[in-house]
Amino acid sequence: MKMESFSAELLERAVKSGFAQAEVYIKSGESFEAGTHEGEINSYEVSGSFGLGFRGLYNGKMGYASTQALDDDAMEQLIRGAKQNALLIDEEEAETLFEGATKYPDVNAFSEALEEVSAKAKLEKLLKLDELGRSLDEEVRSLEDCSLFSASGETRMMNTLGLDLCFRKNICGMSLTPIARRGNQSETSFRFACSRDFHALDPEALAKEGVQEALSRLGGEVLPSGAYPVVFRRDAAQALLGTFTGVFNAEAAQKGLSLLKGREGQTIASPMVTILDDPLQWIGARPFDGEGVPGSAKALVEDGVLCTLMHNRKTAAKQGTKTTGNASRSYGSKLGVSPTTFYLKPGSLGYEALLREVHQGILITGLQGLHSGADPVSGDFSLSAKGFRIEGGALGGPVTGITVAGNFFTLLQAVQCLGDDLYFGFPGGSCIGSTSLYGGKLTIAGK
Amino acid sequence: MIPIHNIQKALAAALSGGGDFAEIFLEDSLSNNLSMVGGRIDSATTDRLHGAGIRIYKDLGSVYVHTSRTDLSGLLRAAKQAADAVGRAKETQGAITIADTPVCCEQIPVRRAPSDIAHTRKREYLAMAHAAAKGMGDAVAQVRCILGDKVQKVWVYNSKGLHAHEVRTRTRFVVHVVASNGHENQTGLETAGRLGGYELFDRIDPEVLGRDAARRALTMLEAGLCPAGEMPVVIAGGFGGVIFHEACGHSLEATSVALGNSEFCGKLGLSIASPLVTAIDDGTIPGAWGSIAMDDEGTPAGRLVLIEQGVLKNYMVDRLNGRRMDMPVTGSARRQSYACAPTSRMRNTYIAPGDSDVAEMISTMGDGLYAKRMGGGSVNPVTGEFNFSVSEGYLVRDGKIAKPVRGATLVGSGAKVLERIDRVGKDLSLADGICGSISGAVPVCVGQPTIRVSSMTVGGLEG
Repeated sequence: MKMESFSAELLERAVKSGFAQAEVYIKSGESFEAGTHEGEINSYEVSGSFGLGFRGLYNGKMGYASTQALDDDAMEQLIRGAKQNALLIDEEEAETLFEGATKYPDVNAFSEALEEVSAKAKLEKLLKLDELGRSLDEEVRSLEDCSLFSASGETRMMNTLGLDLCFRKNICGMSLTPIARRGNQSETSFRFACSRDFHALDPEALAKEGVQEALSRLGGEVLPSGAYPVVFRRDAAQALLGTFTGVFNAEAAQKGLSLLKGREGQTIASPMVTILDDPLQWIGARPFDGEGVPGSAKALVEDGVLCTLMHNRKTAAKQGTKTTGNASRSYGSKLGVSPTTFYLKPGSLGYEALLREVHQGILITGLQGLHSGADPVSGDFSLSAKGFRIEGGALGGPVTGITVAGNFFTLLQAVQCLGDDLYFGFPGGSCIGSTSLYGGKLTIAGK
Repeated sequence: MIPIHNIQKALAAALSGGGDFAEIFLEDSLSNNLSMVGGRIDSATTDRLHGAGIRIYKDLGSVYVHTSRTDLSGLLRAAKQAADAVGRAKETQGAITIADTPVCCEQIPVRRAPSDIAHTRKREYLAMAHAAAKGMGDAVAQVRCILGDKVQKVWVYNSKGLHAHEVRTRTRFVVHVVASNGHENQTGLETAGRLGGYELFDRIDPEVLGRDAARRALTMLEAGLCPAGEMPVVIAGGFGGVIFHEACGHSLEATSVALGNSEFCGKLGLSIASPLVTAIDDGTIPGAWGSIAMDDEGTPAGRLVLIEQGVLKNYMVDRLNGRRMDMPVTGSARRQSYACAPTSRMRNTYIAPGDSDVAEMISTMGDGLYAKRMGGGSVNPVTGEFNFSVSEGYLVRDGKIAKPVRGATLVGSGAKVLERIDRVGKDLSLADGICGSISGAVPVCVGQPTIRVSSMTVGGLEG
């Protein structure tokens, strides 16, 4: 096969041209995505993707280059590019390749059955979702988005130290954004579901949930500005937590970009808070990380105490500790650190019990502007939000047009109640989970 | 680079399923990114993007297939996949003829191509910005500087015989500073990007960028908490234009309008903004970060008046949505790469200068917020609700700038904020940004003179 022979020749030529170590990282995959507009399929996308990343140790430094083309120029471009880039690096921390482990966990992330699902079956399910989304309620007659996707991919790594790994995974999912309209008001709500089992994707449940959520937001009022007890519903809490996972990144900490730098062993959160990272769990499971290190579960925060930051081999070596198997890599990006399945350990309160406990306040159900209104370096956030009043321990009327502001580190310390309702989202290839949580009063801006 | 007869065969194969229009977008891009943290280069990468996207229309339906295999068998396979998704042709497709030589829209020559720049020179630029930022004080805890260049070669072919080609060289310099007092951090960001090569550095000084980013981080470290509530807001020019980009620009893209999902649907010819507002989306500004000679469907870029004295004049329209809306294309179809189907996007979007004086705007505003530098933001085009962050803000008391405040976010609805613009200054400037939407991340400029909004909801940390 072209890719295999290209890779083997590349490693051989790298060694001949002076690289002490060399590695090839390949991602290839196929994907399908279709969308509807008013009962018709209006977009249909199929892709075949391929990328080859090369890194090699030259003159004591790691140089990187990548390509999506395997033409005559590619091999020369990779070797010359990586060499030049290695010569530019003046960071002193050594980055080296990994020779591989003797044993890897058995992760089953590929479903043969999913590969067998026909495009026709996918389109039928999508059209069903579209129809349900527009027919459950008179005030919801259109969708901003309705789509279904499936994707399969393979990660292949091999290097001159003998590492030779391959991992396949696939997934399917669907999403919709119903638009609820009443008079001149409109509200939307985005809903997403994914699975490795095509038959587990339930258009009815998703449509119902989305339509209800959009409807429930109609008639929202702007609150007077002030400090309110704030509960983040599990999906809003998940979005907030997902924005701040970078503060647990050892690379960021070592570069002075996280306030958790040097805080290992110290209390950084309420004793109710335990945060876990487990590469073997749920839909994001993988047997090895971006350096080929086998994955295992660990607590980052246990009962409020910071146990460890997330490390790759390079950041761990710098701190004289062991990698946590959190190396991130893609063919077009250098070695980094990222969460795998990162989640807040659930508490014991049911969602309703949590609302009863808080009694009076605001429930936040949606946050916007997380990419700009939240700063992982300072921990400050000030975000556009939607939600409901909490009155007498139950849900009151909807609120809109407000912002909620606070600081992530302060919020971690202030957590008073945790739900038992763990929920996962999938930002940027990681799998982030949270429960509903209450962290005392926060500032709300409104009228 | 791909033989023209291969393209003709692939286009014919693409139409074999009964589609009425087919297009091939071919891309070969080479990018270099260099990052310096704490005065040392910690990352240097070279990446080559290569592939083709094939698109077919049948009436209002579209199919998109992309692949990194661009030899004849790879293109034919992709074209066949796309054709199969469209259906079965009623009649045999005739041969498609494409011109041998491409139409090239007029391009400004690149004076200092990335491949001609020595690595030592690149390192110097980074080191200059780093040293300048560090020199601003001991509280400057970390400085990250990034220098990126990209040469994107694109070819567009379609079943109407189009063969168009453009080479887009872009260069961008970014300085990110963290200031710390030991228990709190604040950040400052400065960026400068141009369509062109390293002649960027004829116009910018890395030391000035470094100092400005450091000054902002240090100012914000000393800043108090921003009060929350409704108040008048003066927004400075340059990146302040992100307010128009989010509050209005996205809702004027055919992506939202054609499907009836924009609050500005059906409003052409009607007043949607204060009469002080004239807004333009211009793909032709020489060297501007968001400029293109042609769009990603091969239509030459033009200058489009969106709003004239408050009246809605034009939407930004791509080919597919043009069919839905029965409107001509506006050179606005863009995509991050061959892996994304194109759709209507902004290029360089700005509010045209007015005749107000900045000092007067502030002195007559009473109590409010002066947003000197904006961060990013986002919008829901259906509801028009937008949000964006203020990265450098000052509290104004009784018409005088009182003190810096941090943690401010502006929220509201696009239609309302456009009507509430009660001052537009003379001081137009543009700033570079990256805009993310359904066809991926594309380089854009935002811009405006200093403007005043009579009342906005300001989110802050102080209740």
